[in-house]
Amino acid sequence: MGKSLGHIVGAVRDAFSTTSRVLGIWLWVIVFAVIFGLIAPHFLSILNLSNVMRQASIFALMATGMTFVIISGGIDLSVGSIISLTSAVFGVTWRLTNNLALALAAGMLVGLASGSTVGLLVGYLDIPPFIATFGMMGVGAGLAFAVTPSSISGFPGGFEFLGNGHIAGIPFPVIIAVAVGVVCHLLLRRTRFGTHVLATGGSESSAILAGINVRFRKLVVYVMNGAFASLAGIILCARIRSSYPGIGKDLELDVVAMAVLGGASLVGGAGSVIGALGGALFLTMIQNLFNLLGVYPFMQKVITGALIVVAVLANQARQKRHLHAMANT
Amino acid sequence: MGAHNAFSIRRAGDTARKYFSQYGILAWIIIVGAIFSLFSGRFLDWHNLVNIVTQASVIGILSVGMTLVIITGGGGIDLSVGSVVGVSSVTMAMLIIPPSYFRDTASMLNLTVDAWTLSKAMGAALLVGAACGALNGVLISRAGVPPFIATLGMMITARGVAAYVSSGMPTYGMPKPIVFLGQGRLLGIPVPILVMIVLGVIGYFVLTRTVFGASIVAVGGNRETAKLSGIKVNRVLLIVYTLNGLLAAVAGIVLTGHINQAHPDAGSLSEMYAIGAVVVGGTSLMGGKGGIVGSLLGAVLMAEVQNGINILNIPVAYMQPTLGALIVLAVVLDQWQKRRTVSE
Repeated sequence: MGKSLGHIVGAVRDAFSTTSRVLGIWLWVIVFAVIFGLIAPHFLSILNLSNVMRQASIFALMATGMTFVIISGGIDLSVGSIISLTSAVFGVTWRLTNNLALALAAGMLVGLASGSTVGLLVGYLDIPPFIATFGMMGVGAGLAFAVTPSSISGFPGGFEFLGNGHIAGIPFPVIIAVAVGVVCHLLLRRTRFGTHVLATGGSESSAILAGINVRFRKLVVYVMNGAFASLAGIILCARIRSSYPGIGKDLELDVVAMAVLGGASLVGGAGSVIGALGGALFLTMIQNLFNLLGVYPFMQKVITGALIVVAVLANQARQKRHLHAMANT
Repeated sequence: MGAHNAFSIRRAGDTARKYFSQYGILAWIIIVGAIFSLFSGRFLDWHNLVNIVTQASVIGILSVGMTLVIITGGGGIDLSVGSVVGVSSVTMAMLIIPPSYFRDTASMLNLTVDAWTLSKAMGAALLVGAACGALNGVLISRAGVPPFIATLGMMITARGVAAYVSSGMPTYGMPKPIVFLGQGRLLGIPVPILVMIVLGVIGYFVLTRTVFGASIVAVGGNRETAKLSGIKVNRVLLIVYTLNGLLAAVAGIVLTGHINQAHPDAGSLSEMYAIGAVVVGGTSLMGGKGGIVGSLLGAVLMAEVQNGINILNIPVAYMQPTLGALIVLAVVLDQWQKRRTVSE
């Protein structure tokens, strides 16, 4: 009898550890969603959940790009500034030309240009990513206010759909984020490019010896990241129906945290797009709960900071247990 | 004779180049200064030069500890120092203000504060800084959290605590001794500069002349080898991060005195500038090598550029882009220089 109880407990524990290994941060998302639902019943309402997902999707786009960067062994501190500059350039182009297509192109160009610059610095001039992207962070943040210090609004109604529209009841940004996430997941796991990025971050010297063009892979990864940041910036503009040159301030570290919560390793070589989406949802959920409960901003910071560390710690402990279990069998 | 001359000129050139590649940052300070002085006669004014170094001192103090942290390698970095500056600054201010004066801070200007209250407040500020650093150190060395994440968490948390301690409001008017630390002069030299230099010299000797310094470099060079040669890696990491928190608190006290106010947002972004100063100064983010002299010069270079932009009346929106571009450029040229030295 006692033995069978032990078996059941053991089986439950095994099942839990297997699911947690497979689900990663998503297990936390589910567990916390249930807890949050108990604390604040309104949290699990359709309206609130769709709101959370809509907010998370903008972060999810950025975290997806950041995941590739981190996997390649880098980091990108410039994404917040890219969003600000994209927003400013998009707004100004619209105000000057009243041509939406041109404004969108100009906005996307910001991410492509800054991503290429950073990619060239990191990939071809061997500048440490932290420094190259920190430099770009300053350049972007300053230029955004140089382009226009003011907020611009009055975009056409159709544009707003990008941020506030629904298809079959699902917020449009969520559809974009999921689509991009699926494509990027396949890109990372099923293509030669993905393998090369993983190899670059895993051991750069081995990757070079294996004939991988490490420099070019890095360039591509930063350009991708810049493009996703610009896309996120444009969706953000559509969501709040205006552009503002300070809109992306301080977002970069949140995005890094989301990617790491999703399993990206800051030493490179490991990471997951599906995890990054979960990481984005996790931090957005916490933010949302704070707002629902009216938690003081200072308390929000204390709890968020602590949760980031605890979640990464739990992830690591789980991986260590898994390795340990593998070694024992 | 002619050949001999040419030879000695070339040798002099070689020596100069070697010196430049070692202290390239110094050459940069001179070149940038020369450019600024062409555009403004006020730049080379003695008062302005002293002002630049004074402006550099808070980042300089931070960069001393940051250099040690980055040398320990393994992704060693401390993003929390800016927030620690803020939390130690408001902690000190809250302990100085008597409850009856709460929020009535203008009267602080003439308030006499007894030595015990003052030392209690400053001691608490240092303690808070060291505690934040120690918590970082424990998370990194014992729990194995990546430094970036552990200190990012601390950065967010400490900023929240700073807002909590101060109810989110700044406190103006510090007691004279604290203002002296930020604005005073000793033998004609501004006190912040003295603090930076004293801490820099101590840091330099610890790093280059002590067993502890050697073990920091060893830990950053190759952690496995360091462990095998009997260095207690975890303890080294714990001490380095604790020291860094302590130094951030010192920077917080100096900053509070310098601007004569304690603000819960004080020091925001200064972690980035401290890291920038360290890297521009030639310390590798990969760990294992670097020096404190370069970091202090890096801090001076950044203050110089900020100062020049102010003097030339360039719009403030261009301040951050210029600094960002400068940091990248300095590292690009440094890499290029090293590659040339290696290929020779």
